[in-house]
Amino acid sequence: MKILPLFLICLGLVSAREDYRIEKIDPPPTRHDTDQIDALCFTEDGRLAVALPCGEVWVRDSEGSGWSLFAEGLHNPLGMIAEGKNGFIITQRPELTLVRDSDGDGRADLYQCLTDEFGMSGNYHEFNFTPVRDEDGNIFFGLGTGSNGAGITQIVRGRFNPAGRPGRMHASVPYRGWIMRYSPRDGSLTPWSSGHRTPNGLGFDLKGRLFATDNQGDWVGSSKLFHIERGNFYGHAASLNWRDDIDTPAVKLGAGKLNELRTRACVVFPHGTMANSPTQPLVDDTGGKFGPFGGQLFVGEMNSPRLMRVMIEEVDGQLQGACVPFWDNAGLSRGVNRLAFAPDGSLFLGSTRHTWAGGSGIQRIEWTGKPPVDVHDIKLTRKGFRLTFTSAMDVASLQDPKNIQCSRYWYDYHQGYGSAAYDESDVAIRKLIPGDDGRSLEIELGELKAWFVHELRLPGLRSKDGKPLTNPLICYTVNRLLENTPPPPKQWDTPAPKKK
Amino acid sequence: MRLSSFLLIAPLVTALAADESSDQIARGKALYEGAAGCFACHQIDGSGVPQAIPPLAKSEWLKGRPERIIHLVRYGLQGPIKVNGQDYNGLMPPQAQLDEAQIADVISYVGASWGNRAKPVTESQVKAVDYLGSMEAESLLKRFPFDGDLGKANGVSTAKLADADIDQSSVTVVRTLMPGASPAAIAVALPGPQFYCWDAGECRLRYVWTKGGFLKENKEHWSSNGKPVPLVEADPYYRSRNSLIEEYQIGNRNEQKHKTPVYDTTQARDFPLVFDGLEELSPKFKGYSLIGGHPEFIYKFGDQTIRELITTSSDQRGIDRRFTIDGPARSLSFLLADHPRAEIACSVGTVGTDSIRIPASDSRKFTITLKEVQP
Repeated sequence: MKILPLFLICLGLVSAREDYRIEKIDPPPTRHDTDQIDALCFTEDGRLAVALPCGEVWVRDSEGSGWSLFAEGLHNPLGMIAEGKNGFIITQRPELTLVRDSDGDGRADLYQCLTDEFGMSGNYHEFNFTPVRDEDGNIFFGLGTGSNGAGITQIVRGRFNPAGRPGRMHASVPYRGWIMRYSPRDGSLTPWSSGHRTPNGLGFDLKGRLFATDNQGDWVGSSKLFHIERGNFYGHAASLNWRDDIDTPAVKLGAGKLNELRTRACVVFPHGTMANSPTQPLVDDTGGKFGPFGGQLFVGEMNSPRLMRVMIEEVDGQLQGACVPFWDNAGLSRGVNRLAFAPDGSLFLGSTRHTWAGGSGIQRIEWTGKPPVDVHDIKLTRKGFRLTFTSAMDVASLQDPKNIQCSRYWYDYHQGYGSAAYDESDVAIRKLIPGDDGRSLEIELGELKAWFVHELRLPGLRSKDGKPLTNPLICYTVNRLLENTPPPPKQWDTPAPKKK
Repeated sequence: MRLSSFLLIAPLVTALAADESSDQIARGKALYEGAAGCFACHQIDGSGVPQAIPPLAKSEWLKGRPERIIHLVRYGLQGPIKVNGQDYNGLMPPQAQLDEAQIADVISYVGASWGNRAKPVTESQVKAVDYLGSMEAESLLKRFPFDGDLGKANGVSTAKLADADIDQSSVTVVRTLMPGASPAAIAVALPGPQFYCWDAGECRLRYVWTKGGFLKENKEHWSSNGKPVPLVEADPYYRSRNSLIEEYQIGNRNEQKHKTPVYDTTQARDFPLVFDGLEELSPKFKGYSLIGGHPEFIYKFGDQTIRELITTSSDQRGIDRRFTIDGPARSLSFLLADHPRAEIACSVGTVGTDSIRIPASDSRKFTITLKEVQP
């Protein structure tokens, strides 16, 4: 029993992928005895910079041979972007902070509070996640809710509202559970969207659309990716107490009413199957340097050695799409929390764990130039899905019904922690129509049903030259159909009954 | 006759029981490796993740009566725990998505796998376990102790961390939660040593100390494990005014356990700089610059922009607070707390018992010195 997994691990290391290479990067030599990476980005001149849980920021020299300490003393910095030649904008627990070296000696000497106009109850779970910048220079960041697993401090920052306190994850001070927009032009801070539980990761795509992940828990049946738009409510109740038009304690509204208010996820990450704790979404903006997935999102996952890829399309006026593993095991650390593309188009990953499942360290993935054997994209059709592939596939394998399986299920929306997968059933495959070149496949389903996650498993698919499909699992969140989408299913006020 | 029917029936009964139990284990395995998602953290072989996720394989937590493990799965676990001699410190969420029968199935599967030899658990046993009111290993063990000698070696871990090491010849700035301050606190160690806590949530110095060292065990906070403030073994020789908090105990690590606050910063009223002609306003924190490593805090109050640089006093017995204020010159009173253990001096104005009066002409630059009274 012990030998087999070891053997598999060795095999994974030996039979390295031909399409991508992974390597470890030496972490900075902090005296605080940690190699957990809480934030990671590149400076304007292309040097790697990281922040650690102990509050230090380190910058690697341009040859990649050594690190220098840039800043220290920050409070749980969980995201950073370069600002000008000598600075970073950092989300730390109490603030959005500009950390800058103004005298050019390589060490920060200015820690400017850009904004701290949000509350802190002192609860350990009130994280401040990933700054991202839009084209106009506005900075977006996510404020995590507090956890009832611990209390709050005697003195809290910002107005305390007891209505925000009940429930598992709470928002007793302003804008916990919100995504915020900071505008550098006038220094103003705008509460942008509510209903977030633990928005550990924001990212823009190439069209300037903002996305954020959320983590399975109360009000979040399974982890999600949301398309963020101003004013929307994304489902976690506690934050609603900081919306002007809600005067009842939000948890008392009930799931039925809250369901009417909420905006659904564009991609659900099925718990236990795809991801338990998705992190930062990062768009591939490398213009092909990182392979054929330009414009798609890469998303980290805390709990397992997996990096995911997300494919989004607009259907019936709304964004929805699918997630697929991009990288499993094969040398990848758990806990990939922050991602950034280097100027050369390679992908740098920072892993952390805090007290959850996860890992540590820095890794770099580089495209070798060889085409992956992978699903390139997935689109909803009238009767099912159309897949395209990054390599020409063996047409016979695309036609073999044993190779294509589909199941569907949905997650309940309720206050309790997580949701079972409901009405899980196999979906018949009616027809498989490969493209002549083996680069595409039309999958016609016996029934395509709105508001269900459709899980496709593609075992046995092979490329023309006999290589197996690297990632034979795709979960497409079918909210809408191309036309005639039925209204979303009725929402119980109490959790859906469990199947026996 | 009797004997033969017994012989006939006994294997049948055993076979039925074995069937039920193997069905249950199969259901538990399907949950463990599927919908319940246990494998994602504890791994498919129950081996856990070093330093992060405790193993289930051969775990003493599964031995003996089942209530402890039922409580743990059903209601979650938080904080330090020792498993198979290794320390862990994390959070296992309550598995509220599982019903009682499913919890029994998963525990039975885990209890029969990877070298564990626990008895199967039934749905009614799961139903019988009520929430103790705590997710901590220590409380669980108090209520459901290990059998025999297991408890002596295992169970609750004690964190021993030496993260307080600082270079006492230079300045160390650490933003963290601190006792007796808003959560936007800043702890600073100066040569001397002089230590102080400055509160960015209220833009004011909170307290100053010299003995007992700087911060201890802050790694727990850095790792977000729900444990509160760092351990501070300080006995401040000066504490600023606290009209809203009767008493706060420094060194009490339970600081973070409150359900409601004593007050929030919108109610704060102890900002020490009272400018003549300025209404009551809230100060706004703008950050700090490092000058020779020393933070100079920058904050705004109405039309006044205040910079406050804190350094060790020349005789090393206290601190100098150098204020530089921009904006229209205004006379001011600088409010003091009772200070039986501190001497207070100011470079300008008149020092009274509860305030320092500073005329407008001297109000743009002044230094207040706080020193520990020599016994």
